[in-house]
Amino acid sequence: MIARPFPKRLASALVPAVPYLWLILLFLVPFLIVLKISLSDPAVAQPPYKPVFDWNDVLGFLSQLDLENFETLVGDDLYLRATLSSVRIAAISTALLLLVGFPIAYAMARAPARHRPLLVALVILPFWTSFLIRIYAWVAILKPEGFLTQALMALGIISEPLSILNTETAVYIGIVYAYLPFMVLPLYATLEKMDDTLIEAALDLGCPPWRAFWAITVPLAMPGVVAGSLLCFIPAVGEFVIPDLLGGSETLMIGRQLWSEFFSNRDWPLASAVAILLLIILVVPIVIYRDVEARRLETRP
Amino acid sequence: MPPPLKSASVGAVRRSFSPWADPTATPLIRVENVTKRFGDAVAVDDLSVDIFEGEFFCLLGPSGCGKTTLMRMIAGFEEPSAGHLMLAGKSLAGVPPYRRPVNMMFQSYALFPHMNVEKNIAFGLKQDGLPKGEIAARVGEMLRLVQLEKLAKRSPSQLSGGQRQRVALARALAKRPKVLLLDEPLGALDKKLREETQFELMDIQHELGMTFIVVTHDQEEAMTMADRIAVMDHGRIVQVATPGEIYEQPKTRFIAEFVGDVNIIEGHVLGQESGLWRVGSNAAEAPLTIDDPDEVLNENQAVAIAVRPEKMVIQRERPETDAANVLFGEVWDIGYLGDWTVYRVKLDSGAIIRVTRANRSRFVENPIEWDERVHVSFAPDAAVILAE
Repeated sequence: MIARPFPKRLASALVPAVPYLWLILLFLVPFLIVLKISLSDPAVAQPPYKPVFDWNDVLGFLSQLDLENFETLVGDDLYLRATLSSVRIAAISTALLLLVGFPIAYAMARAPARHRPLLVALVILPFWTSFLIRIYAWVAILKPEGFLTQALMALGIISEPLSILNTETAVYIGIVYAYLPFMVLPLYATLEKMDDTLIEAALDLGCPPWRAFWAITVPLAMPGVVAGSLLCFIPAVGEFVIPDLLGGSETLMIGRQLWSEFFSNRDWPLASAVAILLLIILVVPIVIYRDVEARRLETRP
Repeated sequence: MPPPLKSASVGAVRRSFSPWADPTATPLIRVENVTKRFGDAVAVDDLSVDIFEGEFFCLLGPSGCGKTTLMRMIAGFEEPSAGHLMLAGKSLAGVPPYRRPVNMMFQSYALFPHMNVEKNIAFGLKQDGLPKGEIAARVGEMLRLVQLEKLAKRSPSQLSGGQRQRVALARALAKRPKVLLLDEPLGALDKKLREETQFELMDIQHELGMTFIVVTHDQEEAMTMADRIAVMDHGRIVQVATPGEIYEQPKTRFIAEFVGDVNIIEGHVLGQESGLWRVGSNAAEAPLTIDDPDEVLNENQAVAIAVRPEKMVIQRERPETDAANVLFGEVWDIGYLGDWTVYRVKLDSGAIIRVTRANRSRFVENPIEWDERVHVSFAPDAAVILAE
């Protein structure tokens, strides 16, 4: 073996360290801070919680931490309902996204190769406008005197103004609209890689096209389906802006709850506890997915 | 039921098999004036051919000659722009691929990556809604046929190229189609494996009594396996004949050059004497005599004489027999291939011809060397005349 010069060895040791450093500084440390705040008590002070970390009295500091906020979360069924409602809304939205996104991704993957980059660009294009502006645009579309009502009334399809804004339906519309690229792009990536001759082989073996779609295309698109669904489900659970702007007062979501604990009630410790709860809710599906995936790869004979 | 093991050799059965020569025989597949256009490009041009039941039929041609398009039309992936395709007397027009009693083995094999070997083979049978027991029995039979019993539970990604090829074959055979289409079936295999598999394919075809249509650009493959070969060029069939006829009696210069090696000597017809054509050429001093009685030629017509390298004799001395055609030249290049030695001889006319000689003994005394003056001779019946 040839000994490499020291600077080179240092460089090759440092390069993998960069992502770790990044993750430690920007994910692990903030997480620990949030975790610590969630174990504290609210206080009328600056910062609005106690105890504050003190190098001279670490044990005293630790002894003041407790799980009181988590007990509140468990004790008050508001949080449980908000959580369940968030998961439900995120799950339904993800299903709708799959329903809308799959045909789009499929059509993109089947389009002539020279059109595909343009189609991908079009899917990404909405990102060039601010997320908030786009959601506000939906307010303008969905409100009772908005574009949608006007258009449908002009066409004579409805006679009464629609009351979609400030309902759960509006939240679904907003989430499906805002998250569509996150569903379409991973699906497109897997569908585009798929070998067309597999479908031909299925047809050749007596499988009609619609059945070939379910027997070949869908199973082979599964990695994209799972990736797209997770990319949509995870942020949708914690979504705050869309339910706040489009949803009604009864649209209960954990992200909204977190916001009001933090800004309205100024209860940082409870808000942090909600954040930790949200994290736990989201870690579970990720871990399950990874576990399932690992086992699937293992049991391949 | 697996078919009983063959009693006679494939070759013995094969020699007596020639339904195409029988005018009363009805073909299994009839291709009638079929044209296929893609935009302005004509892939298949007014092509007609009959393929008979039990035949091992090869479509041979360079890439882009339309052979794959023709096969895809038979499979149903493409519809002819004009003309008719008939299978067992019924028109195939408008019949989708999943309703045709035709199966295809794809060049890329197209094995379903999310199914194991067994499920891949069972796929077509499941589509027919066969009972489970029957599917299992048929899959077992196919696995035995291609000798993959032990790998039934493997996924395609865990197989070697040769094994994948067998799975693809088994999957295509499982439904017992009337016609099996094979698109470059051996293209992805290495040379040794390819040779073995050629004979295996022939055995399987014979055992199952199925009609095989093979698309290939490899003339050796076509020669070994086929009952008949259709040589294609520019969307047309230039010649349909047995491998022997294709090689020994090529219709055109394209076929002579595409199938095997050939030396072309340009010349013009001098006349006919006792059934033999006399052809003048500046490659030889004396007129050449060629025994190709079927050719109808006019005096002074420009022709090409095609002689296979192995049908020529290279020697220092002038050959004794008067009947032989003799050319003069000097040895330009020698290639020793082990079984054969290839001589490239530069004729006095400037043309370079190839002569091969089988190395029958291990040592040759005083072998022909570079730059030596040599005589290259060939018998009248060693050559064919190709009208230009």
